Amino acid sequence: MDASRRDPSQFHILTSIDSLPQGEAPAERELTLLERVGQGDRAAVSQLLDAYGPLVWSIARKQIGAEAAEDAVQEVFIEIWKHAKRYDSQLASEATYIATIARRRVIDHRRKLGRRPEVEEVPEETPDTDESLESLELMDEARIANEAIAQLRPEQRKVLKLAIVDGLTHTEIAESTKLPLGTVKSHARRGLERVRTLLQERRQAGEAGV
Amino acid sequence: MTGHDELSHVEQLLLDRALGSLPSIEQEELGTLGHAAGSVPDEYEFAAAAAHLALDQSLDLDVPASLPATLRSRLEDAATEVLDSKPN
Repeated sequence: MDASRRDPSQFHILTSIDSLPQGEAPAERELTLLERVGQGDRAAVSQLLDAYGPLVWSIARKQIGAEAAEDAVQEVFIEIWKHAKRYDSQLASEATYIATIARRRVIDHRRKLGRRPEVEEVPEETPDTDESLESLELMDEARIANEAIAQLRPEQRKVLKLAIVDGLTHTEIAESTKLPLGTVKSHARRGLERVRTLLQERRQAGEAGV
Repeated sequence: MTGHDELSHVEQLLLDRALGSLPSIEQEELGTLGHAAGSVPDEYEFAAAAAHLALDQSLDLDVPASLPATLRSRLEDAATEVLDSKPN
């Protein structure tokens, strides 16, 4: 694999001082891939597909199958191309932002298809795995989410995994685990609430310079 | 219903939507409350995505190294179409 694909931060570029409005103090700021796409940068499109295409493909294929996943992935990226300017790096990393859009679209597709997701592993079409995902996860909100998930009880963690990774609804999880529906809802909500709270705390601490 | 109860109810709907387990009727309710899908994602959706990435890693799930070539080609064509239609 091309080493340049392993760290999306390598794709950030510095804004040109010449492009700053007159009178504004020169300040160097990195442009994210999404910001570059928002400015019509064609090279950023290709780099963004390299960096996040496999992630989106993986999320979609696992939950709705390869055939439906192709359309879902296309919808995800069209949304990204169209609304790249809306991305706010203060709210989420690119990986989390793109995964959020992917999850939303895939959930919509799943709802339309009325299909229960496949919980079993999906065979890989390509033999290599993307090592960049690990670095993506470790460098942003996923690492914090991991801390929050580690604090959950095993059954809460299992319910959260079935809901988030496997895409099962509360009802489907209750059927699958034989847990009461109320317990499933409680585990899933508390687990996600825990992740959100920890992310919020870290962001506020970051903003306060702690 | 107090303001706090209402907030809790909305938060529960947002949580369930982020978890992908919100029935259509409640999806509509969330829309009427001003939390329609398609707007900027809320914090629960970001949290769900972050948790998804974290769980993928902890489960050591394989992620393909690249997109299928035909799909990638479709995506590049779509990007060209979108960027060409945008005034820059």
